[in-house]
Amino acid sequence: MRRKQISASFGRNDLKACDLISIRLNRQSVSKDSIHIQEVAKLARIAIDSEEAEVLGPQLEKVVDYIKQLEKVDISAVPDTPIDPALPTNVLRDDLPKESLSHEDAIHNAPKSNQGEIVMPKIVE
Amino acid sequence: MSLHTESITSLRHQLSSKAISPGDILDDLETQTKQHEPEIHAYRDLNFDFAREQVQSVDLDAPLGGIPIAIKDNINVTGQTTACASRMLENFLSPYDATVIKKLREAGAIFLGRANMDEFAMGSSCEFSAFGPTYNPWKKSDGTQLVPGGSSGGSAAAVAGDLAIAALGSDTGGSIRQPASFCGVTGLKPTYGRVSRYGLVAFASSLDQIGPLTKTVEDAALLLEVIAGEDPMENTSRPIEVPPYSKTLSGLSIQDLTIGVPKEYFIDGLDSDVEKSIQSAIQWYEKNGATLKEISLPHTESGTAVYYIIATAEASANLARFDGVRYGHRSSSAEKMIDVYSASREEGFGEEVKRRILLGTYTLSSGYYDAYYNRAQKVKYLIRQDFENAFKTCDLIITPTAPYTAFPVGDKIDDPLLMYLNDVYTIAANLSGVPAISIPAQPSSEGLPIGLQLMGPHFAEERLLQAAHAFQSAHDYHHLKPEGFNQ
Repeated sequence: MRRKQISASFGRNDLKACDLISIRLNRQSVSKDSIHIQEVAKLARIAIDSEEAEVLGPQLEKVVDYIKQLEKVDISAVPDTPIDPALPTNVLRDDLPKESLSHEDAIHNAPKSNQGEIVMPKIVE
Repeated sequence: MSLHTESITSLRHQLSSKAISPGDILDDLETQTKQHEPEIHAYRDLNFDFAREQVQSVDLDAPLGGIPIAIKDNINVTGQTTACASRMLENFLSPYDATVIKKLREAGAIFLGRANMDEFAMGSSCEFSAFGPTYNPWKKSDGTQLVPGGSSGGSAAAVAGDLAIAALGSDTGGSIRQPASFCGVTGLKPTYGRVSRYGLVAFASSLDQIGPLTKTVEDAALLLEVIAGEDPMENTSRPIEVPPYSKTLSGLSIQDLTIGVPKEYFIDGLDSDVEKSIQSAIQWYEKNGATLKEISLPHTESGTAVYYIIATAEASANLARFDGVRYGHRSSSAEKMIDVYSASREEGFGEEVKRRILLGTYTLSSGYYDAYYNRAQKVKYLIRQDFENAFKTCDLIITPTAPYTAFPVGDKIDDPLLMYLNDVYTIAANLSGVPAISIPAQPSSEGLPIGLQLMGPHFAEERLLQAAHAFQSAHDYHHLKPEGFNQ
């Protein structure tokens, strides 16, 4: 299995992430296919706490075990890049400006905005 | 009056002859929803004032003029919230109409409310709505409450309980057909590319299709001919002519049909009542002159595994847009930019959505991509080939829609894998892109609805609707009503 350090900050779950490393390692000792749930959660940008991880981890492992049945399917006759013939290719249109959403409508659903611009926390300290 | 129980076709006749007004239909529906909506919860949001405003300017000569329709909560209607039954989008106000909505609006339809669903269309029971579950109008004989199926459970329950005249749903792995089967209504998933997905909140873009849930096949044909067609805003919609489906329903002779019966679909795990019901439907087609042919769809068993790799992989990419920046929920506790993403998504998404995003992220992650996603794409290709080969020898394929009748609320919610196996008969139509319809067949011994599924070649909706209409014209299963819903 591929292993990666959980190193980056996980925001308000920093401490919990540490707890989870040990849970993960414990699980690895019983199942070589255990999913590094916190690592996946980090990739998915979803903070999950240790309680959730304890539930989600085994559930995902069960589903992954199930989908592994595809290993048995003979795919030798399938081209490397199977193109779905139902999908059209090269759908082109003229590159002409036309009426679209107003600025007001486009920004309306932003959780935080100021003078027509979306507000986010500062990135550079 | 009991206009809420009638079909689109019947109401259109009465509206055209001025025997009734659109307001009369809304009045009846309002009375019905006051009585039954609190127990069914088919709607995430129901707004009769909004509906009555639309009636003011409706064109009664238009094909759907004055017909109230429930819209699944993942299809954008300008001025209404499109929450996808998620806390993430609870306050999202649709800035534009989905193409299907634009077409329905032009055809005179009235938008009644937002049909409840599994959050982001992820589920098979409508129990994963952040706004509480929808209940099936049908109950077990001992009174046990049943799920309506999902993810378009609100749409199906609304039609079954006469809380809407018809509804739109979306189908990624069976999300129109399975609830139609559980609730005893008609549900159609069109060919991939038949109906524009523009304005449908994406779950798995290569599988999603919008389609109708209705009381009759005739109504499904009416809705499909309005919403189908190429759309310049959606480049997987195909430039293929849309036949006048509702006018050609009787244009098929059953004697000319060869119907394929896939041996892989009649196996262990299929409920005996469901098997009996579907066998009796098969016999009806045979008695009326159709030729039956046993066929094989050899990769059926792999369908669920392929689906849960491809659908979750696409979902993990599609739902990346919900990051708390441009729209949707933003966590008030996050201080750093990176935490805005992870905390907003933690707070905004429900458990099943997180589970699927995590699964999709895992199968797409470096080192696993080939083993899972690429392999699944290849098996999907083989599943499509299965159907192409089958349709060289038959015109339609007949199967059950679901392996069993509606199950009790809470029965499968703690076991994701068990829940995923619900979709075993419906998934293949999404993976191969073919159209499929579910119509009510002979009910179970307990009187619960059972769905008969017909699948056809790509863009053969006309034949599919004709064959389904023939069955429905000869049976009254679609007229059966749950107890307490007889008015």
